[in-house]
Amino acid sequence: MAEGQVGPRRRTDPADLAARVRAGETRAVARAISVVEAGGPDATELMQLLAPTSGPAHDAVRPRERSLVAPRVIGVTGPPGAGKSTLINQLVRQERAAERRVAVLAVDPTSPFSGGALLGDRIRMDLHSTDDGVFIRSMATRGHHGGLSAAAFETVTLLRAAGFDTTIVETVGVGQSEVGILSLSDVVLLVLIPGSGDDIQAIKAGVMEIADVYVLNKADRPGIDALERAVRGALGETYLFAADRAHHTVPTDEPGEAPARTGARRESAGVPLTSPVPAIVRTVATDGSGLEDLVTAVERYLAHSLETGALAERRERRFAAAAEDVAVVEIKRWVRERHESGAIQPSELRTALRNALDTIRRHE
Amino acid sequence: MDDAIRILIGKPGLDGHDRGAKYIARALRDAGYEVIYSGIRQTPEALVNMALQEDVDVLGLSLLSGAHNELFPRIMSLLNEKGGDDILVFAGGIIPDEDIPGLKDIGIAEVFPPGSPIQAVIDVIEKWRKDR
Repeated sequence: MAEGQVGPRRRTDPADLAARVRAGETRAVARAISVVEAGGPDATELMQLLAPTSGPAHDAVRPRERSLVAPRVIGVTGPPGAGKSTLINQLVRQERAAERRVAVLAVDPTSPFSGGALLGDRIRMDLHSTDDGVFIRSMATRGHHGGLSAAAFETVTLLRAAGFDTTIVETVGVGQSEVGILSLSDVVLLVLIPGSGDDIQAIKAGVMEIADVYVLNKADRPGIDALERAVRGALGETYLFAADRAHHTVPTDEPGEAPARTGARRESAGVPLTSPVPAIVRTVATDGSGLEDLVTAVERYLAHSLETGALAERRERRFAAAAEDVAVVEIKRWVRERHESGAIQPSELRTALRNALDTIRRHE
Repeated sequence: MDDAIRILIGKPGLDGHDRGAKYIARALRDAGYEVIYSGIRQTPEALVNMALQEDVDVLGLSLLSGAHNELFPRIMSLLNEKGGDDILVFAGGIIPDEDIPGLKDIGIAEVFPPGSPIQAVIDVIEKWRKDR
């Protein structure tokens, strides 16, 4: 089968597909995501049609433009077993209660051994499986010709074009590619549970920094206070040494949400106080406790980052990140091909690449 | 993978015995496919919605309760109705031999009785892939 094609099925004309995506037709949205994942010429044509100068996809294309908070992208991550899917189920319920159409993009790792993937998050989301206002799609981490971040980025763009008000992106926050996907979000939720204090130490370096709201789930279990102390401790350190991250903001006017010690240290370290520490919310996803607090924290974060311009900045960065992702994937493929026809010295490669880029620049 | 085939393993009906379904899901993943498992006790409507939203190439149905003659025709007609008629459908579980021809008549490509080797499932998928 030629590269860039979708499965062993009928090809759909991109123009026809784009029109049906705009009409919000489920089958078309589903097929369009497959086209984007395959990353061939049809994907290029489709995305050109779906990334217009106006409409819901607009802010993904022209991120400098101020936009409403909706449509928005909520990233949810956390270690396996933290209750992410159950929590997302509850979030979907809240969004539906507010009459918003919701899409869930669940990203699961592809086996490095077989190339296959077991995409299992449907199991806990079946409450919404016959609701037309809810679209759930699983995505494997590998097998994207344009790179995973680009596939996820374009998927988010087309879900917006299809009229979804909220897209929730779920990942197991372990690898670099998952962190890349989270950067596509307007707001990132990190889900932690009691007893995962050691996890915090382990994931601090990668994921703690990109979370905006810390969800302490299974809050009815012993060890919840210790977990909150561990999170606050980790945040204290992170924020002390992150003076350049002023754009990273969560409004926390709730008394007790921002520990005084952290605030004082941040002030003395010269961090502008327009950048409050991330919100920490306790939930019990299985019975819905704390969900309203969580939704409030998310709304408040989004409103604040829209106000400060952080949201626009973030949307602009994600555009650049997806573009870089495409470039890296294409260059890596080319390098692999070169190696197949005989090993190439790194220095030789550098010269070849720079010459090629010069040629591209001349034709720009 | 250039040609990642997506498969939904669906568990319609009211029986909660999904060892077989989970075994098939894992075995097909190990064979290099992208597999989604629906979880137990799904309605035909829910399964068809999942198959369409996930844009799967293949739908595998596992059923042990004996309701296949009611639920499978419903699933097939919903698939046809909603534009999923290009999806390969196979079935497995406790299905009497005499019911198999009727199920093939409504468009189920193959029925795998308990103890079927996983390679038999892969062969059906690969043959279908080649024939498309």
